[in-house]
Amino acid sequence: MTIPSLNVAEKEQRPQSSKSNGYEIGPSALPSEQKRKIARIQTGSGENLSCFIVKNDNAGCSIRIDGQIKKPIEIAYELNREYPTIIDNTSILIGKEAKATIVQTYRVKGEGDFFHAGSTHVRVGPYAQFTLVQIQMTDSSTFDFQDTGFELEEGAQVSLIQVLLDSQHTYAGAKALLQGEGSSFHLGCIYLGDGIRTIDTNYVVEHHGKKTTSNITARGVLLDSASKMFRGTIDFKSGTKGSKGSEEEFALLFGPSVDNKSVPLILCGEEDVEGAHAVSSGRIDANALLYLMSRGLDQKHSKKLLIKGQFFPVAKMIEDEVLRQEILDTIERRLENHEY
Amino acid sequence: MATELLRVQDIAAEVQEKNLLEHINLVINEGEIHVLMGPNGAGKSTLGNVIMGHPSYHISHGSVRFLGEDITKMTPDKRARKGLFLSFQNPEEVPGVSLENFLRTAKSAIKGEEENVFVFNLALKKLMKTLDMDPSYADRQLNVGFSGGEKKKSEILQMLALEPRLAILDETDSGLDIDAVRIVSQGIKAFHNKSNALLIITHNTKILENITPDFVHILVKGRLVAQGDASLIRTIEQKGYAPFFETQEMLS
Amino acid sequence: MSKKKTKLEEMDFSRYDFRNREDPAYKVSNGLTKEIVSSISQEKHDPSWMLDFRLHCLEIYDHLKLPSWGPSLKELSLDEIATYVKPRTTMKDSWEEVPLQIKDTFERLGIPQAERESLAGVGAQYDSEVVYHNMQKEVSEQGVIYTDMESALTEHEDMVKKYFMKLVPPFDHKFAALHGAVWSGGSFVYVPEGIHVKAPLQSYFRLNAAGAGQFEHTLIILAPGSSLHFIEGCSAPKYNVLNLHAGCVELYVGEGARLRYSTIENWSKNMMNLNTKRAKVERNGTIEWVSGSFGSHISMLYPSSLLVGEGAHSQYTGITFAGKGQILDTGAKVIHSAPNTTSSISTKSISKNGGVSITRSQVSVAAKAFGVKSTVSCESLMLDSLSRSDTIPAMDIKNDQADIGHEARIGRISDQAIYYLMTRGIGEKDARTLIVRGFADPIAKELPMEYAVEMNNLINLEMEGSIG
Repeated sequence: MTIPSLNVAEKEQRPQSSKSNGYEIGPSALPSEQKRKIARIQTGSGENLSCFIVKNDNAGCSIRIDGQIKKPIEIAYELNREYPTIIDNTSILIGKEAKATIVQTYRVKGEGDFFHAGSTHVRVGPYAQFTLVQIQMTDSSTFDFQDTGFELEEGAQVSLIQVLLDSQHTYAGAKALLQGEGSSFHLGCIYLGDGIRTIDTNYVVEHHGKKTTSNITARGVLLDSASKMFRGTIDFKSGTKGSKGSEEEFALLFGPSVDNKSVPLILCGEEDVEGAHAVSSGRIDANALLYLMSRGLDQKHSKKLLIKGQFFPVAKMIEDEVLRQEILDTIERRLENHEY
Repeated sequence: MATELLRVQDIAAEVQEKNLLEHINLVINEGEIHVLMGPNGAGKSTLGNVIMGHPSYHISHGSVRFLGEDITKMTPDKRARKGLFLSFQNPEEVPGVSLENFLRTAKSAIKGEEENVFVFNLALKKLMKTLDMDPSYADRQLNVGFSGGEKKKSEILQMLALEPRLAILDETDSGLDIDAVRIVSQGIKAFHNKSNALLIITHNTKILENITPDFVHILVKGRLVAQGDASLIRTIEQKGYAPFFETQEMLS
Repeated sequence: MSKKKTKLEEMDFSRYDFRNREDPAYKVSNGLTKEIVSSISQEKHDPSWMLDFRLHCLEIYDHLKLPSWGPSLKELSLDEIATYVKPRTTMKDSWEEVPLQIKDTFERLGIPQAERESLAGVGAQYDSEVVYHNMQKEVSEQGVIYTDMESALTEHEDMVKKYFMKLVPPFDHKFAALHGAVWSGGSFVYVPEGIHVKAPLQSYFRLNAAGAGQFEHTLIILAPGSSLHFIEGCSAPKYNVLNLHAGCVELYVGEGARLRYSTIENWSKNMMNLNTKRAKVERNGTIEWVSGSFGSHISMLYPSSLLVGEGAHSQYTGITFAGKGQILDTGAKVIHSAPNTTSSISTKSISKNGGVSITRSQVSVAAKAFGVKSTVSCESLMLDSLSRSDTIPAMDIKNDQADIGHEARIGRISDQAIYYLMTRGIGEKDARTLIVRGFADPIAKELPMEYAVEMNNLINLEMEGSIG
């Protein structure tokens, strides 16, 4: 089975249609009624953005996955002179017991003011396993809205990884409805803000079904005058017995005028749950630094190792090693120009 | 004639419809030391908890009698007041409750009358000394931040303070260093007398070097496959549990 | 094993459920107008600047809207609340001279006992006026000023004018403005430089007349190097008409000074408790908040610390217990405006029987505040699924050298822990109570004995249910 090459060719940036054993990509992948339902799945950034995207899209597609797809399906977008605006609206249906990974990458070529707004809605069927990786790459001065929404049925397992490295203004959102019993949602977010970049996230997990689990992990570095707002909400609805939800956010700060805001909420209407969150922000652990240096590594090298280590718990959620390495390399490159 | 303390009659126990124990028969009289052995996962802790009345286990067959009374449906606190005690393998940490306060409350509950604070405190400190426990532990929060060894000592201390008729010790020796094992055995010996009894659950034989059991029971995959005297221990030391697996297969 | 439905009982409030026959000498007509504010001012013999200030606050109050967040306050109708009720007596010096009816109320609250037990002095409030005020010789000899706000206004006018509502200005929010307009009663404390007040100062507030509101103002000023422990405890009987408490506490902690401010809020179930408490801490000063919120129908309470001097420290330890019909929205705020300041916030909340507990916390670090360390810990215990518990923390950090940690946990009483206690002969109900008391223990430890005992009594649960 060949991975469909979905690089942009037409005026709109739509992936080429493709159909094979276990999946279909293209306008006919989903019947219109189902497509409509999926497009209405609530997302992290809310209805206004979602509606705007659905109405004005010039990119994105419908995807249906029924089988076990081993290799990740990559959908690559490129913002350039010819396509300075991409508004992608993607609807995905993962069928019962299916398994797949989809990687959406957003790269930039050349100089200019670019705009991207993307909304990805996913419905995951019973006992399916789905991983969505969204990556912003390459230096740019873009406005970037990266919004997602998920509905999980019984036993479904979903991972979302958002790598927010580059845009000037990033707004990332995710909302997961754990309706089916035993469903689970894991969200990993890596961010790196320098200069005057701003990063604003809103992640919401609603536990409805019994024995559902969730975890939100955000790890990042802020330098110079970058600013970040992390909003995470774990909402245990009444009836979600035996569920567990946790949030962690760790930020390393290097810069005289960084602005770091965190609001990690836990809302709880059910007694039989376990909820926890941990947030910490600060500098590199002095003991860890000393340890590495005592083994012969110089300070700069040690610091770099520790900073990369900061991202690791989320980076390892990305199974594709090539992709993972590309991300870590990008981070390293960006850090090169900074004091920390 | 020694009084019968515990009679487990043809017990079968399950959790979430999974069978954990079947056809368990056990009689313990006062003055006796029983040992329950078996490989990991045999169900030894389960049996200890079933006797104590852990609500997660469902008794699908049989009965448990203590001092002639049917306790099969009794809650754990009532069983404790009758004279049963279980020392846990992994004792819970209970923040905000001091060890001393907790023990005094329990003692009062079991005796049915309020313990005098001063008298109890003195007695407790004495017991702690015999177990080589730092007296400051009495004021520490129950098991919070205690090392494995300290938690086990805390359990034995409780046993000595509450003076049960039958004490079930679940893997009390696991995770202890040599000194701690010695101290715990001494505690057990000090506890044991003609009118009480012990059921020692273990899967290795170290703790038994200083104690001579009267009866040894082997549990494999939820069935009692052998019952005998102290010589069974030597058989296990030499041959392990392998021979008993065949017996268990036969019984199934 | 059959599962019995968990049944919970209300806490026993009967001890507080008594009321004196209403006999006010002077009662303001319901509703808030310029005339009413002026008459309050006149009755109190305010200096003219205070009258102007009150009227200015009234303007602001009319102008500001109700807060757009938090529990709904639509049940509150200020028009129905008489804001000023003056009892038939003037200030008294010794306990013996206080009228019987009023004395009885306080006797039942246990003040004379507390007085005997080495407390420095008691300022007891009864329906908006301080009735009884006693200061031990030792404290006044040290130069400590401890008096009611009205007396302070006359005797220490300059000091009051300098500090009054500067920390909580009237335009802060609607209830601060309301407070500024109709404030009445409260305590004023000034501790001179280097003086350490050994025994805690204590103050009681009490609501009696139906529909009366309480707007007492507490102003505490600690000169450099001094220290004080101030305890505020409250109680009110039950009524059908809505009662409002919009007090204000302003604490000025001087350089190197240390102030501990303890409160047990035990207002009755029809009170709306919208109190504003704020502390400003100078260089190397310390503020310690100890707070137990048990009563009231709706509470919005967020003691805040402004750390303006280098090395200042704020510590907050609090417990909130929300039962049937209660919405307790509480928390703490710390603003780090200076370098090397530290703070810790530790909150615990319990909700049961449909109670709603909302814990909000805020830690802000200004750009110039280097070397800040702060930890926040919020633990919530839910005793059933009728209740709610929400944790809403916010961190706003503008300095990269800040070391900030926050953790929160929410859950229920572990079945395993209950089983463990039961195997030691303790019944299930007692086991639950023991665990909940253990949960509240860190706060009980910070309170003086009689408060800890009162708090443990408040934690009186009757439960039935099975484990597993």
